[in-house]
Amino acid sequence: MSAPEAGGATAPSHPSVPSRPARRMRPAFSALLPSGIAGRFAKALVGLVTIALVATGVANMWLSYTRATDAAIAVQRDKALVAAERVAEFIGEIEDQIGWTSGAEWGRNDLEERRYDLVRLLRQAPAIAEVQFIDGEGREQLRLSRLERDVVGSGVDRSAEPGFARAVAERVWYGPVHFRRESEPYMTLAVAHAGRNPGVTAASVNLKLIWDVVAAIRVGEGGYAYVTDATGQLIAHPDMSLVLRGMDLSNLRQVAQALRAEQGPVGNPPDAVAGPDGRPVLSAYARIPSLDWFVFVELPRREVLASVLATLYQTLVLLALSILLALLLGSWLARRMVVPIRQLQAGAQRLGEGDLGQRIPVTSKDEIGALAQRFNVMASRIQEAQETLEAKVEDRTLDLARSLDELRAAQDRLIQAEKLASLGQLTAGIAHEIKNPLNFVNNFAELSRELVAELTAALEAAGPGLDPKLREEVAELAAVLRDNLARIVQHGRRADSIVRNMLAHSREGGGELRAVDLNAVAEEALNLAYHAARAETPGFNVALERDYDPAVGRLELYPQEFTRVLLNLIGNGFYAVHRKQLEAGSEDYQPTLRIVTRAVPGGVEIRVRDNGTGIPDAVRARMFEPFFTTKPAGEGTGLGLSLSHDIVVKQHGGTIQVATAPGCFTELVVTLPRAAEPAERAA
Amino acid sequence: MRAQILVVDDESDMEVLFRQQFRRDLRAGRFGLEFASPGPQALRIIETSAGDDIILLLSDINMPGMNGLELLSKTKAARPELPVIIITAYGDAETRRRSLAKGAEGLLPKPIDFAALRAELERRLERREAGPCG
Amino acid sequence: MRRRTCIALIGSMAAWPAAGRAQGPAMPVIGYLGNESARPVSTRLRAFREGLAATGFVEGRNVIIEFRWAEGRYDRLPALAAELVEREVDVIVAPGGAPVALAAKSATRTIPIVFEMGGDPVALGVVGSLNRPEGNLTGVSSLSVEASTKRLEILHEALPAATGMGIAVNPTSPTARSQLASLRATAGALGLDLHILPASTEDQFDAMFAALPRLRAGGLVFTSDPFFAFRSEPLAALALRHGVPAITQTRDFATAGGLMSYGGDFVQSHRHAGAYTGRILRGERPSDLPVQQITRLELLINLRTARRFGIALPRSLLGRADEVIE
Repeated sequence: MSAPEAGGATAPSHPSVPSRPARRMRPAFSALLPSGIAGRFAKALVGLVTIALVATGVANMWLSYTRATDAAIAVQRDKALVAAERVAEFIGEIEDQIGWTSGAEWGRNDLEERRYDLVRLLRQAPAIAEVQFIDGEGREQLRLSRLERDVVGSGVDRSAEPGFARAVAERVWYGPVHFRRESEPYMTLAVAHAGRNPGVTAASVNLKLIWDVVAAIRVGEGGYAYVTDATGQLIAHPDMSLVLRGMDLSNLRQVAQALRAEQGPVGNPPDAVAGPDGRPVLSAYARIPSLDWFVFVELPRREVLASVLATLYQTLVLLALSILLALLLGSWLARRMVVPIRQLQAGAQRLGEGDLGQRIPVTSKDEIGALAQRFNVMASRIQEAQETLEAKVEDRTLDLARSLDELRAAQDRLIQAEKLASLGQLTAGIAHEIKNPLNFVNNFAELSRELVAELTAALEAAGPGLDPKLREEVAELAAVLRDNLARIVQHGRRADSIVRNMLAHSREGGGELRAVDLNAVAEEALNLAYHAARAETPGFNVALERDYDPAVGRLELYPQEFTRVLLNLIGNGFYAVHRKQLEAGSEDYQPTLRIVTRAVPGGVEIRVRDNGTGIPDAVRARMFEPFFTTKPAGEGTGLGLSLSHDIVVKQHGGTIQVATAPGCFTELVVTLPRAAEPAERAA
Repeated sequence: MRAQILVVDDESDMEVLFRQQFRRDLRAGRFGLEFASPGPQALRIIETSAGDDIILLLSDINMPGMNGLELLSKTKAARPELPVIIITAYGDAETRRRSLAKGAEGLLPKPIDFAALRAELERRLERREAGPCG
Repeated sequence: MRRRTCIALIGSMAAWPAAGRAQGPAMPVIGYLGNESARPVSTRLRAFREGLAATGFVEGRNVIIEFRWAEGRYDRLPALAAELVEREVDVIVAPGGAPVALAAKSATRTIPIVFEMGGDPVALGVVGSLNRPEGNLTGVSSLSVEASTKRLEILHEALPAATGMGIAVNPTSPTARSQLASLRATAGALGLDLHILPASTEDQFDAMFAALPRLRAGGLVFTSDPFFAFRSEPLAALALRHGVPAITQTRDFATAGGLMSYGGDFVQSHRHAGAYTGRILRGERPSDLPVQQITRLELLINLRTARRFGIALPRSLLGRADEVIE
């Protein structure tokens, strides 16, 4: 029998290792018994069932025991009564038989006749060992014995004997039981005759013959009956030897109780009594009133218990089977019950792991089904929510990205503005500082020119008195001086112009974001630029064209800065057309500058178009660079377009584009978004 | 008494420039030019009788020690009726506002436009000559 | 492990029958001490076996009986008893009278003895008391010894004219003397002459019967004695031949042609003895079992013999008879 071990471990045939079947059964058992919540269910079910079964089993047993006991006692009581009757009958028969001899007419018979009657009595009643006839005076007239010699007419005076006296008094006298030769129980039965002066027939009855009656009493299988007299002395017993031994049973509880007549003529003494042989029995007794004897009917307790034990075994077997059944059914049932819970659990787990598409397929109508439904609903909601969330997240992300971009743009603009601001501050500072020495430079230069003029005048005045050569030299020098000073003034003015431009470009005190009517701003800038150009450049004329879109409306922007931009662009346009006019010189050329505003989706578009010189490609690439200018020295700073670009792109978040055809036209297109991001104002 | 114009600037070249610009007027004796630098010196002049004849104070702002605005306040405290014109390279709106707030009559940006200044002077001289009731 | 146990089990089961057969001494052995031989006591033996069976013992099945027959030679009884004792029997049954019981008693003090006798076990010194027999003896008394006086009375009733009665007595019987004493007393009360006729061997029987007419004895009363009891048939035949009205203790006499018999029921006493033997085999001690007395004395009258002898039996006597043989 080298069966492979279930667990795969080595199987040494060690006596301390549990036997193979046991080891193989353990995994089988654990497979049989469910675990987890099913296990709890199963245990609960089995536990309940077991408790119920055990309780009913115990109750059953108890009931059956009491029932069996009661039934047995009832039976025994009946039997005791019957036995008592039979014993009484037995004695009664003898009494009757004796009574045959006590009829009234009997006394008239002669002795011989009577002797014959007594002989017949002896024959009819084998229990009678000896019979006496005592006459009315109490003298024994006849005595017949089975063993001893018959005595006829002895005349022995027996009047004092209770056999005579009591019999006469009570008609029948039952004498006490005595044991002849300490061996056999005998009793005297004396019957008085009828009539006056009655005689008595007294018989000595061998009570051993009651044995037949008593032995014939069957109680169950091991039950028996026995008879005691009023003192508890055993008279008859199925085992005659007990009687012959002269057993005194008065110390047996049931006998003592009976003797005390505690329970009337019939009773059953307390449960735990022992019979004459010492075994525990169930005892019932009946009293034979005339004889004052007691018949005890006893049944070994074991027999009573036997039926109870049988029931017990049955119950135990049933219990075991039921428990086994309960175990199996319980496991199966628990498993089945748990299936939906497991599904729930699995579903919840999957949900927890994120698999939202799963739905729990539990459709029972109970709480578990409801729970599963809720789960499913929750799962779909979560799924929806998740999807919406994802969508929203995407949107938000997009928004955020956009915002981020816008933020960055604003940041750039801010930085730019700050840069500009600081640059502005710097340039302003520099400009202001430069202004001081420039003040002196220009003024002194101018002054010096005046002084040189005075010198020349003075020289002129001194004219003839001076050496002509000297005068010529001085005049030359003065002329040179004048020239130099003029250059100084010129350059000083140029420096001043630069400074002024710089100051103009970096205006401190920052613009503020305001909603302004764009068209109005454009018109204002146009007028401003036009008049400024007219004042600055004589002979300047340009045709202005305006195309304002009323849909543009109000726009949030930095009006100061934007105006500057427009001024710059328009100024450039003016410059371009003016140059062209100067270059072309033709009459046909009509310098034109056109401003167009248009509302576009998300913002506005401003076009500044001039039909000037246009912009060559090489210039176009660099046109927005700071300090890059095509104007001759002293005419431009090269900051205009770069500043405009910065203002438009970084401050307003718009775009500036150029379309051009060299020698033909230039169009600058500025687009501004509707909501320009407000630059953070410096505190 | 001859009207005095007090010019306060930390650059000494300013005195040279003024004296050259107004050489003819000075030679004509229409007014006198006084220069003070730095600020406390100017205040001393104003606050004492030496400044009685001063009809106009021209001051720079950026000066070490007491700056022009401070001088302006103190001057206005000492002699409220004395007009003060601030000459400064910083011709921005904020400076202008502050100067005006402190009681300056005006702001003259650098480089100095002497023509405008001369016109202003002429007006004040006329007024003075016309007397307090002019 | 299991396999080994299995084999062991099967092996032991196979060995059982063989073990059973080899188990001779395991079955208890009864030593039956008989004073005659098997045939005469067949009914008694049957009764004995019935008594045994009532306690659950069946010869051959769960008990073995070893018989020792004295075959009438009562002097052989002690030796036979000793044999049984040597045989180490579990119990000795000594039925048939005081001699057997006494022989068994002298042979062992330890092996339980169940006696069956007609006499008074106490008077004969077999046991100390009837209800508590000390020692290793207990048994049954058939009261027949005491019945001998009654026998005289009955025969006297049957033959009222007879003035003398013969008394057959076995001088070797231990109860002879007591019986004679009581008989004499009764005879005195009845006014009878007694003629004692001893007989201890069968060849003395004939002479006994023959003597009666010479003695003017009307009838012959047999004392209770197993010697006589087991020879009822020859005695009956002799009685018939000699025309002697006789009364013995055993019914066999009456059924064999003798006139009357009055004595205990031997069947009952042997049955009781068997029951007691069984109980002792079951483990009860002799001292716990009181000596039982047979409750029944039966009177048998052979009417045919009475008619043949021309005896008119009185009504009272006939009324007393338990059995009348026609």
